[in-house]
Amino acid sequence: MHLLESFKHCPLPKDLNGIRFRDSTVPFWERLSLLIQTLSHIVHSENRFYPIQRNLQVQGWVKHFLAVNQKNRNELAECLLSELTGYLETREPLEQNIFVWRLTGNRRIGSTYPQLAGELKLDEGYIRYVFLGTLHGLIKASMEEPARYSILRGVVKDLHKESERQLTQSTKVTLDYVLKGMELEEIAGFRRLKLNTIEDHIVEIVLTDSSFPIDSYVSAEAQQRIAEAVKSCSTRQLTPIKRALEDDEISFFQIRLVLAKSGGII
Amino acid sequence: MNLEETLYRHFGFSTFRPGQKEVITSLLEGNHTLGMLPTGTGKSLCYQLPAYLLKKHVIIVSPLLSLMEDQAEQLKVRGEKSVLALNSFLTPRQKQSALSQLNRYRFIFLSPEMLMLDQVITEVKKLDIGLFVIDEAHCISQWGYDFRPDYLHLGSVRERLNNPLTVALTATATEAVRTDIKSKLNLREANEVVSSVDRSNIAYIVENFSNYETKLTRLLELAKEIKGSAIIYFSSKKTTENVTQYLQENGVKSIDFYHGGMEQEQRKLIQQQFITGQLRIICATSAFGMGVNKEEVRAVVHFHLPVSMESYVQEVGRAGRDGKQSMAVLLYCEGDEGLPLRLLDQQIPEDNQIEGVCTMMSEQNENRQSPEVLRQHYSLSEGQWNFIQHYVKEHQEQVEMSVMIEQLKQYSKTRRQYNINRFAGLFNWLKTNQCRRTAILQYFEEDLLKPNLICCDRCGVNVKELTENLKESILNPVHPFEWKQELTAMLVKDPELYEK
Repeated sequence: MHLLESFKHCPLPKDLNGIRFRDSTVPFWERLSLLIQTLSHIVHSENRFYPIQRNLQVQGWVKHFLAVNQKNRNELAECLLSELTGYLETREPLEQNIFVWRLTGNRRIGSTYPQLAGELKLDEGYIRYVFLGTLHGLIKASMEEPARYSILRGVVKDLHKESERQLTQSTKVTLDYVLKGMELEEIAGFRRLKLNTIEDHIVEIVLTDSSFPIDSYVSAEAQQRIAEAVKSCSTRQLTPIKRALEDDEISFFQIRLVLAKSGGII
Repeated sequence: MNLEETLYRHFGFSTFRPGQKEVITSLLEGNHTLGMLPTGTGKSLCYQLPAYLLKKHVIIVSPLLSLMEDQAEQLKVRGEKSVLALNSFLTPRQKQSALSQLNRYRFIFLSPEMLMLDQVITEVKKLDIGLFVIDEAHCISQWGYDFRPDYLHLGSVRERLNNPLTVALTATATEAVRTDIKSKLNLREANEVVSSVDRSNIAYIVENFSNYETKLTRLLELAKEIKGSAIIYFSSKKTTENVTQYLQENGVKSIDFYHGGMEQEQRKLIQQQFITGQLRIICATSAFGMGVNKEEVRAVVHFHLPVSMESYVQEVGRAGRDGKQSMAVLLYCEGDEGLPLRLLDQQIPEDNQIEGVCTMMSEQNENRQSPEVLRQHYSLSEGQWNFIQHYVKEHQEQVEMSVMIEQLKQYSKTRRQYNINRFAGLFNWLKTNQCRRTAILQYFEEDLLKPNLICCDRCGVNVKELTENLKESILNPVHPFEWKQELTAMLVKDPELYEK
């Protein structure tokens, strides 16, 4: 009852989508906030300021973004303004306010979460959620309507590609070891996991990145034969494929790898 | 072109501050130089200006990552593009690419750990080094107030780089420490430029209280009376937050806190809000201040006792960089000495911790524990852990484990006593009946050259009058706004002409 009551007062933001945007949210905000700060100073003819984002990659990105963008700076700032205003107008007043308070421009440094909590008399954690919801909403909108949000789309573009191939934490660890040149058995021994689990990780990696080389796990010749067997069985079920291959040397793991690599097209 | 013209052209100042010109001249004449310039008087200019005249690479070794970042950033903001900060914040790829084109950078900041890597030394060696700068040089002396074992290697690094022209800079160092710095760096014949630690525009005040409540009430009063910017220092993160909240609830406006436990972005926001005058007062731990260039801080208040005279002078030095009258107020309550003594103690390992960790570190592979497990098992603070780690690394090949354990215990004991003695220096100053300015100078083995009109509580400064007469700082508080107007004003030069 208590929980339901509090949801009524503090509803969860509707665009909150941590699973989908987990990896792209923070860099998106870092880029966007620094881009806004930079444009704000440029349009007001102030060319010295302390960047609010310290990450050199983010700073490099903003420089590059401005360098390749043909629009004149005032125009660019106006377009960004109209994209942001257009989006925010569809939102609740609380979201509009939190978002703009968080921004840093030429005249004002953005507010911290505790400062907003004090200002708005709300819980700090709740403010963080609402703000996160706004960011997720912006990312989503720019992906669904790239024509309308062309600048925001430019901010998100390469970020979200990365986050589409998300790996589970454990798989990331396995990938690290693989890249260091360790054998799967070694990794399994080292991490005290079953070999099966490590193989699952490799399949997951290939599923998210079809360019990942599998030749060290399946010979090119075996890959060829597996692909043919898949075609002739016209199924993606492992057992019939394995039967059709008539070869004990070829494992289920190898079949799964070939299937994963093909992404369904053979 | 004379030095003043260069100063004006690159930095926009028309005169040097005490000590700057002497250090620069000594360097330009080709002498290795040790410069001691008090906090707040522009140490970094001593290597930045020569860089433009020598027209060669300048290598700057800096002990703190955040300080390094701040200095690199300040150079960039001033319009200097060829600045590189080579530290562990860079990804391996960024590091590789930076190393392969070191030649492109005029100012190269390095952490001492970086300079221990052969690959880095090899690349640095290829450069035509105009000046080798050791910032916060007191860190090289174990008798300095912030000893960094990594700094000890800088002497041999200098040699490997063929003894480039070197400047060692520090804000506070007694004569013994200065001699130690020179010997560790093999710079025995270096020129010394020593400016007085005295900051004549800062008035020193100590106020005594019999209990915590009256001290807190006084702080509230001060926070309201001082009209300009102020920093209030605390020794604990928790108290920093709690007292800030107390002050806010009691009507102090434009005040917030800062400590090392906050997220990086939030820290940056608070720091910038203070610099731009959006915040008037910062409550902070000692994590705040290094590299924060704010000219018009009118007061530095200590709610807790610092651990030494050196750190006190360092922190107080953040007041009045603009040269205008400012003040340092220390609020002391009987028993306050417990906290700094405890903090100092937590830096040095206990005998049983030394025995336990060393024994377990010498175990063979299968029984070996990870550092985290060891630290937790013996509940070691980060300082204690580093203390042991470093000692073991330096000595394990020379002596047997059992001998080393005894030596390490002895060394810990010496360090502990040394810390206590240094704190005693501050504590004696606190209790002195003498002029506070004279007493500070005595600690640093200096004489007061000319008496100061607005000196200290012992010389009869009237705090009320002083606070009333301090100039106001330029403040820039934030007012409520309508989101759309605010966003428009942010991104459009002339919002009234903007219609959409």
